[in-house]
Amino acid sequence: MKIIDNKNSGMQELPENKKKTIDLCDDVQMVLFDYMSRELGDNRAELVGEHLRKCEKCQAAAAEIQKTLELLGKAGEADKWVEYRLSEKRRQRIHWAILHPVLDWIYRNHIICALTVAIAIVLAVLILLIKMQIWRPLPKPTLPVNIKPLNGNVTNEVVIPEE
Amino acid sequence: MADKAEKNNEEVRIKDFEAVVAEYEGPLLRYTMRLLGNNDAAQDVVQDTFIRLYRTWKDEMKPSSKLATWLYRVAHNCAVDTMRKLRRRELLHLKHAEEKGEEVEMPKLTSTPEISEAAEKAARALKQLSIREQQLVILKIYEGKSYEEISEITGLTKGNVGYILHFAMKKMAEAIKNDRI
Repeated sequence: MKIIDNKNSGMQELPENKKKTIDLCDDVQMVLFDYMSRELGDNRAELVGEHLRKCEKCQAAAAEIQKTLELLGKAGEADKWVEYRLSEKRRQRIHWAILHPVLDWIYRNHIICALTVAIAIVLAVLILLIKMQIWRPLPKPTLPVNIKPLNGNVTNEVVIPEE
Repeated sequence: MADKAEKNNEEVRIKDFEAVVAEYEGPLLRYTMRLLGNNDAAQDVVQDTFIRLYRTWKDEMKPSSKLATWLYRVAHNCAVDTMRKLRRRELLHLKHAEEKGEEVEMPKLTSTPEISEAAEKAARALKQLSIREQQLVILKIYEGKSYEEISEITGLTKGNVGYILHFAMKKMAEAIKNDRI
C-alpha cells in the first residue's frame, strides 16, 4: 500500500505510524464497496476485514455504504413482485418484424422512404410533361443582337449593342 | 427439398428465439424501466433489442451468458438513445411553453410506485448520477451482476467498474445524508 508523500505538499510532517494509518484508511475506503460486494481477492479482503475491525473511521464509512445499499434495496423491493412482460402489441410487432424484414425497414425509415417516393413522383411527372410536350423549360435569356450591312454589302458582322 | 429444410430451420430458429424472449424479457424490462422510468419507452427499447437480436445474432439462439451480455449491452445503448430523445422532447416542450408564457410542471422521469420516503430518496439519489454510474449501480445492486459480467456488458475493465461504483456510492451516500435532493 502506498504512503502519502507530504514532503512536497507543504503539509506538516506527520509521524510515520500516523501517516501509514491515514494512508491505509484511504486505500481501504477506496475498495470498501468491492469488499462489501465480495469482489476483492481473498488476501486483500482479509486485509480490509482486519483493518475494519480496528478502525472506527472506516467502520463509519462502511456503515454509510451499507445504509445506502439498504435504501436502494428498499426502493427495489417496490417492484420486486411486479411481473415484467412485453405487451401483446409489442410481441406481435416483434413477430411481424422478423417475418417481414423489408416492410419493417420501410416502417422504421418511413421519413426517408416518403421523401424518396415524393422525389421520384415529382421527377416522373416532370419527365412525362416534357415527353408529351405539355411543358418545357424556358430557354436561357440571351442578349439581343443587330446585324447591319456595311457599305451596302451584306455582312455577317454581329454588333452587340452597348448597354 | 432445400427450401423445405430452410423453412424448417427458420421455424426452429423462431422457436428458439421465442424461448430467448421469454427468458430475458423480464430482466431486460426491469433494467430499462429503472434506467428510463417510463414503461412505454422501456417496452419500445426491449422490443427493438429483440428484433436486433433476431437479425444480427449468428450463433445458436439459446439462453447463455454471452447472449445475456449482448442483450444488456444493446438494450443499454437503445435506452441511452431513447433517454436523449425524451430529454430533447422535454426541453422542446418546455421552451414552447415558455414562449407561450405557460407554466409547465417538469414531467418526472421516474414513476416510482408507492415506496417509503427513505427508499424514494434513494431512488432519487440514483437518478442524480450520470448514465454510466446509474448503469453500473443498477447492474450491480438490482441485477446482481458480478464485476466480470458488468465489465463484459459495458466494455469497461473490472478495475474501472469498481472505481466508478465506489464514487457512485459515495455520491449517493452524500446526497442521502445531506438530503439536498
